[in-house]
Amino acid sequence: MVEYRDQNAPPGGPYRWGMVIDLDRCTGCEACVVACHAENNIRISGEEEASKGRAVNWIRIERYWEGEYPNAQVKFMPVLCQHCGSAPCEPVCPVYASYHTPDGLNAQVYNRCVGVRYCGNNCPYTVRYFNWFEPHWDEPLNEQLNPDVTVRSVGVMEKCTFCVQRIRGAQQTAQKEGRRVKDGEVTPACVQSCPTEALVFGDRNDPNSRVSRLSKDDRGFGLLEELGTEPSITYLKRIK
Amino acid sequence: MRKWAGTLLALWVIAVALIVGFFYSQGSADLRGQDRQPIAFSHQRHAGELQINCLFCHRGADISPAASIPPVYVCMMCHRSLKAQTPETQKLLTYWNNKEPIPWVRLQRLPEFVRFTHQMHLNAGFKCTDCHGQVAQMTSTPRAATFEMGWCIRCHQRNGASKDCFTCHY
Amino acid sequence: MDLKRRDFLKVLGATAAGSLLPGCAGETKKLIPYLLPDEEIVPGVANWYASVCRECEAGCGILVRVMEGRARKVEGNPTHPVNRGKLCARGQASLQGLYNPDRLQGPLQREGARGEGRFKPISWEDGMSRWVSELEKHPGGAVLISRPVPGTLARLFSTFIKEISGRLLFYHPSAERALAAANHRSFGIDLLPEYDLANTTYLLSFGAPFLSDWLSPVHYGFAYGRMRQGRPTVRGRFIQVEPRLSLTAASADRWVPIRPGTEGLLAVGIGQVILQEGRARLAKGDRGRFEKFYSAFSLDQIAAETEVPREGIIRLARGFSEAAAPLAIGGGSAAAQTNGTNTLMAINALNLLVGNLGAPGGIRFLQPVEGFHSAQAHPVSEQALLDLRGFFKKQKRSVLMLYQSNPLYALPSSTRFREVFEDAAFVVSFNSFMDESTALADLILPDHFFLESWGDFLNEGIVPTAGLAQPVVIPRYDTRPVGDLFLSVAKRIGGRMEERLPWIDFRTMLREQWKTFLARRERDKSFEAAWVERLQQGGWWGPEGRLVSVSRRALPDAVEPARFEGDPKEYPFYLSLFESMGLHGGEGANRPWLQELPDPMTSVVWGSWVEINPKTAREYGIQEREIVRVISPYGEIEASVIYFPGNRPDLISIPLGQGHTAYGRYAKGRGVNPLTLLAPMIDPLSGTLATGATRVRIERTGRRGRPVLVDQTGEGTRRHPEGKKGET
Repeated sequence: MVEYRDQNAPPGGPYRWGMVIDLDRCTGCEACVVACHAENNIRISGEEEASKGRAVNWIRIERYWEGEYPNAQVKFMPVLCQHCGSAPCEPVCPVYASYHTPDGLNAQVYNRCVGVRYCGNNCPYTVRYFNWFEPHWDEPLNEQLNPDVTVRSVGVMEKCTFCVQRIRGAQQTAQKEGRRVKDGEVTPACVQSCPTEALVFGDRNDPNSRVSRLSKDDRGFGLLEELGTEPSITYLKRIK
Repeated sequence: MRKWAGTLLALWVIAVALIVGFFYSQGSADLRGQDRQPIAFSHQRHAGELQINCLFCHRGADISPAASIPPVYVCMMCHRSLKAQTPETQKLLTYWNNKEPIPWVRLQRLPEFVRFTHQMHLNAGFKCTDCHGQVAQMTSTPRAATFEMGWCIRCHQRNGASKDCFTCHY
Repeated sequence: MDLKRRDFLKVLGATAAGSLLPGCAGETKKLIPYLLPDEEIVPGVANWYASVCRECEAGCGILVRVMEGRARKVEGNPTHPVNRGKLCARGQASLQGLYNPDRLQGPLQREGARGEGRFKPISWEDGMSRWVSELEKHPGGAVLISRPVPGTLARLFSTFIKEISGRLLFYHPSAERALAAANHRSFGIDLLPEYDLANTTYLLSFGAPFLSDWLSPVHYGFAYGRMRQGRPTVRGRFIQVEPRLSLTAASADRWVPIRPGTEGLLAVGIGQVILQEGRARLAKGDRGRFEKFYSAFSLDQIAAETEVPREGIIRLARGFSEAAAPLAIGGGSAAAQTNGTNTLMAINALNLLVGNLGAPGGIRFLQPVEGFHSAQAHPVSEQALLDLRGFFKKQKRSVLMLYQSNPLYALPSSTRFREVFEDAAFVVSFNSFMDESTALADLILPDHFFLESWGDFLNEGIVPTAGLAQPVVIPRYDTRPVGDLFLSVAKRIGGRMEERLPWIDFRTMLREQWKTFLARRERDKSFEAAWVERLQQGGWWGPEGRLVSVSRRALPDAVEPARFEGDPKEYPFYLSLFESMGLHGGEGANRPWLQELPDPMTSVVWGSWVEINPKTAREYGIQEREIVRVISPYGEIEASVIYFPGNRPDLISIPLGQGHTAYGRYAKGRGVNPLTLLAPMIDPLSGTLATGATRVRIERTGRRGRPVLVDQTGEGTRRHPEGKKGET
């Protein structure tokens, strides 16, 4: 029997999900990228569509080349939806498909989306991806698809959900036991796979969570935070 | 002549709307499925007269998102010891002997962009009949409710459950 | 729309075969329940099974999420000491091997001439009979080239091959034979070391690509994270020395672009400075020997040879020797030369100089898990494979068998390894895919995919573990476990062979091995209880392994310059071939996720490219994305140019992994295989192919290529001047 009815209103107040990405640990190995594809039924675009810029990567590794030989350097930065507290994508959606959840997620409701792509245009991080074609998996590749996640059809926008299916699963377990979700109890696929533990996920409303503690680090900054987007992801600067 | 054309067009539009609407309502209520079941299974007989608990057959309901359809084996737990056979139970035996699963026609369906879990609802204290109706009195099992979003939301509202889109749509 | 989510939940796997109707709209309206309920399986609820990843040679522990009889997701096994719950891109993509549309679905027999690529299905009975009769026709002529399978399967193979007086070669291109040879010579130990990166304070890496594809990338990635940010007050410093700014070098604090083939000399120079400045921590007995060795070199000459300035060498030497826990490692491009083994020995000597053997943050050699003595699978070098050419010529009538091994792709055409296939009387492949070597087979008896198989994996080097693999899904196709095939042939042959391999199937043999093993480890439990527990956990690993003591502290015999094929006047460029993040040596090329995984440095997907320093490219008048011809004395390839500021101006680099002529729809005919450029140059001490020892020249074609870059701006290696962040 559940102890409280609304999974977003646990004892002690709502959750506010967030992430910390330590760029000093990130090596650009892209384990997170494939983990995300596997978990979230991200379609395979193929060479042709990818060449038109239609490849989908909810999380991608950005690279920044600096300097010329022999002083050339590359810096990597995993970029995914920042789940902005003040998200530019939300107010421009004419049908409220893009909106903010009580637990701090920037949600995209596929069945509401009509595909105007205003949100994608307004996103400063370019982390929203449009389905330009009906997804297809050569059989039997489709047998791997995750039944907990909707396969998005042509004409809708999609983006990182912080693996909401995992969050909801953990919330339901916690709800049944009448408690809050514990720190570390839920990890999105990217965080789980990261070999160097560069990615940390948790509740930013819990002052003792790893995310809360790490985001206070001196190296912390928000991506394009000067735009006032209030991102939920804190990056920790690479030391060099 | 032009007046007639306008009326004809209007009639045509109405006719199309009616036909489409008819099929839409049919589809959404799944009434067509009623007489298409491979075996004329009766919930009234099993859940009503014999008072078998829902969870005896639909074993996933309280531990899984899917309530699940019972395997033939579960039917045979009782039916193998039954002496008298009817034409319908003969069909069951044929499936069992041929080691074939029974191709039941699905009656309860949600769109693919809805994430519904039986487990959560039973854990929250709901009974199967709250959504599925008095199955114990039905020989066949049509939808007891529309299973449309407004119906879900009203219940969530009444019970103080989450009304956030991202609870069911992701 | 093929499959809808609700269908997954509602449509449940049919019958004991567990296979499901591929969901098309008509069929998914039917609800197909399990005929017999499996107590473990609740439709809609995931089951997790522990196993061992076999996508590379590291042997990470995995947990596979299985729902309705199908594998949905692979995660790292959190308790496994090799990868501690983490998993790389390739491991994640193993599901696309399992559900690959181009898997071989049953036994096949060649039709037409060998290599024509026409096959017809045959029954297992006929296939097995043909194989056995060929084995019997050619006593002593059987050769099995297998991927290293340390564990029970290695024991089965070696027993079987010994009984028929054949030859067994464990081979994998990334087996780091030069490192094994160098450690044998330096330390007298035939084990791969565990480098304690997590506790290192100064890591000096000569070309070792430990963050992408070297030894155990997830293990070292995990340790790397701790080295950088795992300690409250210490952040380990990391220097990478190599001609190309690799993915690993990108994470370094400093990149030292050395001249290819002179890495050993640089190590000697660093060692010399350490000794001269009196910072060496050597045992008394060793000092004289070391001083004599290092005094034979001139630092100025080393600086000239390596193109690392004298002050730079001194700075490296000081940084290294003054660190609390220094560590030098070598591999990758440093080992890919004709002097690779000596280079690695010179790097080993740096560790001897600072005395970090067995120390925290240093090199440790750990005793492998005991009780599996006969199950080792030491990989052989390329030279050993090339020696087969003579053997097959002499034998004339030999049977070549291939297990998870594709030497025709992995070896450059200049090595003429194809002759082995041409001279073989009969070729049998047990591979799961129609790869280049399997396409030349006479008989194909496909194995289960690893996620459908029983198996174990003894991790020798990194952390002593014995991983245990169980089938996580029911085999999809009419394939058979290779172990069962060998055991059933043993039965047909009978006699001593049957006595030595008496098991009815591979699972029984595996269980028997583990019974003996667990009897010693877990005395207080019944075997059944212990076995189930091991299966659930994914294997056996004890407390920290025992250290093996080092019996020798040797210096290289010589630090001679690397040899190169091709006149520098005619072929002005060095060539560096590197394993790409997703495809590695080419095994990943048939997984769409990996094809579509952007190269971290350039963002290229679905193809090959050639990296050239932008300055060099402009000198030649080559535009970015123009197709360029790369020519060596042995071959030529064409691919699009990507300007790569991380290349020495005299270096051309090309990723490995593409250019398959077979291997399924995603791999075949895509990109180029740069191995065709290579000269058959071998490092004589280890027998390893020196992939960096061929020189090349480039020619413009004037044609514009179409490499696919998925970078947001489409610029790939674009520049971001100071103060201008984010998208441009």
